[in-house]
Amino acid sequence: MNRTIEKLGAAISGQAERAPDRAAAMLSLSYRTVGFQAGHFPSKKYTKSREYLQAYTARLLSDMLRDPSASAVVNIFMPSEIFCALGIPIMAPEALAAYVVNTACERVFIDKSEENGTPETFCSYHKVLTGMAESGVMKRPALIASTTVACDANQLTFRRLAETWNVPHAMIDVPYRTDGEAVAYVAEQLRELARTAEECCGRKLDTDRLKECIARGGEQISNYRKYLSNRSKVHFPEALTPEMLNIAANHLYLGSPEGLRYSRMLLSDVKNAPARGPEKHIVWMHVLPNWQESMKEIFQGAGNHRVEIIANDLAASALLPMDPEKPFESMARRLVFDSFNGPGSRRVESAYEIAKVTRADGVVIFCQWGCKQTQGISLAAKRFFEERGIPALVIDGDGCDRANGGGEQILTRANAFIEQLEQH
Amino acid sequence: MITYLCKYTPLELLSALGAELEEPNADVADFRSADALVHSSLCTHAKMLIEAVYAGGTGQTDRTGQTGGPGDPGPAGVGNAAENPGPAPRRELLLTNCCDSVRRVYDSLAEETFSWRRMLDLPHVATDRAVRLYAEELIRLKDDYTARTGGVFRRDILIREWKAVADRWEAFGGRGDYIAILGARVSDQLRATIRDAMPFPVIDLTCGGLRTMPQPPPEVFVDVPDREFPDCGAPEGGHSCPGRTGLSDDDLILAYARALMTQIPCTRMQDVGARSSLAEGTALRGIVYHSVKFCDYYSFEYADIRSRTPLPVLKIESDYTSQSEGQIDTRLKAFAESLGSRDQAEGGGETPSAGTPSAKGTDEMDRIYIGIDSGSTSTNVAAIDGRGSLAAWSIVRTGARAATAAENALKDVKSQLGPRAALIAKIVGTGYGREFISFADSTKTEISCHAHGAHFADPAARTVIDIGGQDSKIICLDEDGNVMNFVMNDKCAAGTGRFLEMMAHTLEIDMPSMGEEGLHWKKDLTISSTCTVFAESEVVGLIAENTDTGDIIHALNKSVASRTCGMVKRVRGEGPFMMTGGVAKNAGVAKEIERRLGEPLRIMEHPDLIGAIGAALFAAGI
Repeated sequence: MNRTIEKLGAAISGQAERAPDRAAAMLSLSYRTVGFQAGHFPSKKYTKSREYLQAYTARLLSDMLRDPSASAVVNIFMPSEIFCALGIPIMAPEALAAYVVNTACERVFIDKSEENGTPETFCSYHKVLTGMAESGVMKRPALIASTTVACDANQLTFRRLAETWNVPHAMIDVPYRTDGEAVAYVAEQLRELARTAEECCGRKLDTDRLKECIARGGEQISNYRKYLSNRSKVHFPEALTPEMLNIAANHLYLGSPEGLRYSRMLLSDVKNAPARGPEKHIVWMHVLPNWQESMKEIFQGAGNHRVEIIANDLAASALLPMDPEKPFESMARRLVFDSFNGPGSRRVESAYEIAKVTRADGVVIFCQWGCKQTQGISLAAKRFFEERGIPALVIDGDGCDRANGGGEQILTRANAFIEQLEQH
Repeated sequence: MITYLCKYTPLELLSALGAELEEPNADVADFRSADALVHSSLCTHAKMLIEAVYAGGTGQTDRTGQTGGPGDPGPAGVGNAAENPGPAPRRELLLTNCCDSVRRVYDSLAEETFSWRRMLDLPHVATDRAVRLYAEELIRLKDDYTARTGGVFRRDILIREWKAVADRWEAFGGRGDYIAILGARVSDQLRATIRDAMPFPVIDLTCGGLRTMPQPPPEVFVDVPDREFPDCGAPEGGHSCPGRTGLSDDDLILAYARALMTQIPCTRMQDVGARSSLAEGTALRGIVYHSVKFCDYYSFEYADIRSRTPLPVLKIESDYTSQSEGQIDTRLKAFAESLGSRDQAEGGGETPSAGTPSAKGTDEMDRIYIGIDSGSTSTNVAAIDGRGSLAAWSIVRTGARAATAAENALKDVKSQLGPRAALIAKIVGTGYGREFISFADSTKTEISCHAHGAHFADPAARTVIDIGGQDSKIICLDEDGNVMNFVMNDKCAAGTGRFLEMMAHTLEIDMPSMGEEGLHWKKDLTISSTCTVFAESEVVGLIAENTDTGDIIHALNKSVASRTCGMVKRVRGEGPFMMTGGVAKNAGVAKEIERRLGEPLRIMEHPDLIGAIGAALFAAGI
């Protein structure tokens, strides 16, 4: 991380407790700058789609840090279309924390959260958000909405945020089972969520607008599927951040005009990208630590192009067809059938399908700190892939807390894995 | 035999289906079987199940949660798969999808391990629709189980057991003073340890303890013979009411599902408002709040309870092994001491013990009282006279045998005392090794001793920051020096003297020089890793980059200070602050802590002797 960002992070950290408004303003201005740069002066080093969504996300976060009073804080799996149709901007812990760690100020918020009782073993993404709320840097939104998919942290974090901010909290309980009754149960709750959201924003949900969102989401999913099937043929200049953006696009921005535009740009980028070289292709399971220099060194392919991440299972966890005539059932179906819901085998098999579609050479299972969901399937997933002739590597790390990064150790493991892939 | 874990398991329904039930809840020797199947960072309670399954059985827990109730502690330790190859052949498994760890443990247990297994889809809310969904699960369970076993569904057994559970819960309200165990479930062994340590009866109100179901509604009793339930309050004054039809099996199970889901919820459920009642009650004298290693669900609630209850609360964490027994025991005893109703350590200024006849007839003020603090790194002995003046002291390395170190240190003190050694009236032991000091007249926990020693040294001190060799602790005091609250870190080297020792070794520097050099730094570096091993890697990296030693030590001091001040904030520690323990002599660490606290630390001349002095003061009754 460069020295300027470290200094900025230290300055923001210094203000976080003493003057949270100032810290929020500094963060907002920083992300506004990132957004402006990516939007108006996109780097030629990156793909156009990457710069487009980076600009959109940075601006969104900048706005929310400045004034979140008309926004909703959600978890990454929360269907976004209701909010999109109501014109309510949404933000998830993973998006915010990924930016905060890249601004080198995550520690102060994690410390704040732990001081207030959050266990050290808890998911760091959620700790960053609760720490920001409890330090007063992240102000009160209009609404909190979460789903029980995909992890326990949602139950705890969003309940606590609702108490901290004293705002309505809508929770969608997603059954483990996958049948019509489960879909109907979730759809009913989504309708109730829509009513709560209407009350919070003071607008009525326009069914036609919701249908448009669902239709856009359907097209976006279809585009992403096409992109995935062509991804293995080409080389992209960067891996970690774009995959994080894909996660945001296919969950938080699904059905939005920006999400659809991004998916079209992705298709265009994949058509225009240079042909792949001899590098090995990786499917990544779970979030990506895009702050970590050692990870970038290995997986960005910068310079040596020995490996390249070409897909991740979180971005492709619910690529299902959408029916605009049944908007609530479509969203409910996506939640119930999300590969992160239900038994671990569902998620592993879904990742295997992605690996087959993208003709991946190996799989990295990234055990995010505190994520029992992924940690719990990691050994079984490794065995599953290896039994099918796909080498797999389990890495323990952290997408947003450098205290749990384990840099050098990861480097050794990752290099050994690449050597294994090259022998394969 | 159906193995289960969760309190939302339909135990009464399963009894009505003729099933035998088993709830594994015993400590395990280690997690060898579990670690071969799942990631080591899964909840240790869930991993205990893997050990239990592959060991072939464990003790059953006490479902009533009553002191000395039936089925109290099961057999200790259940071994592991390596020593007990192969699971029990007829074992059945019924889990709920209660949390990520249990879901993944269910995934990891091979299907062929069981003659039958099932995961119940437990909703997170208790709305009508959610209750109906759960009832459907239970009806499917009943149909599946009866089809498989050829058994019949005994409605009367379901109703009788359900009512018995509800009766027990109703009776709970009328009891006398008690200590509640709240939070995550405790193992059978830990529950017994808590009961032994506490000065009041202990009620287990975790999800492994008292079941909190409401009474069956009157319509459930329709068509049930009168003699079974004479006081059930059935409608129209009878049970086989003319013209009325009893509930169908499905409706009975729906009513039962509703009762199951309206138990006082675990924190996994969305609406946890009813849980607040667990931490209230006129007869409740204190709370032992328990969390399980790698279960995140309960720490949030602890912070909430801590902030709103006036009652004493002790936080402990266990991992379903006996590895933390010593530390937990220390905490429990310190808590019992702070409750002030049972003189656990017999340490309070009584007449000299019968074993010290030489003290008889001596002027009380001239008597000598000894405190021995047997720590992991050093054994510290303080001798005081009846006025509380320090007469002699000694600090020796503890080494492999705590008892030998204590003997050597006492010998040293006696030689300093000369003829006054004959006036030794009483010896009190403290520290992790206190139980090994056979010649001590009594023992007291180091929490109480540090608090007492610190208060004596400086009555204004309100928070004691003690950083020792293998643990660090923060103790909050009231104006009389009583322990109001405390928190300890003793499972991880980060933030302790051991952390600094390891780093000094890496830097090839001795500890006194480390304290000095840490004050002279130019570049403000940060060691990011919390883990000691990873932090050492960072230090090695910095050495390789020719970073100035002072800068590295300063970064390490910041790391220790950060963890320490985090603990201070967690326990809501307030100034004035006193720092004790060997690390208090490290000026660099002390300065960093002062900077973060925003006020100066009070550090006595012998900060590492404060615990021993406190023990000696207890011996003297001062």
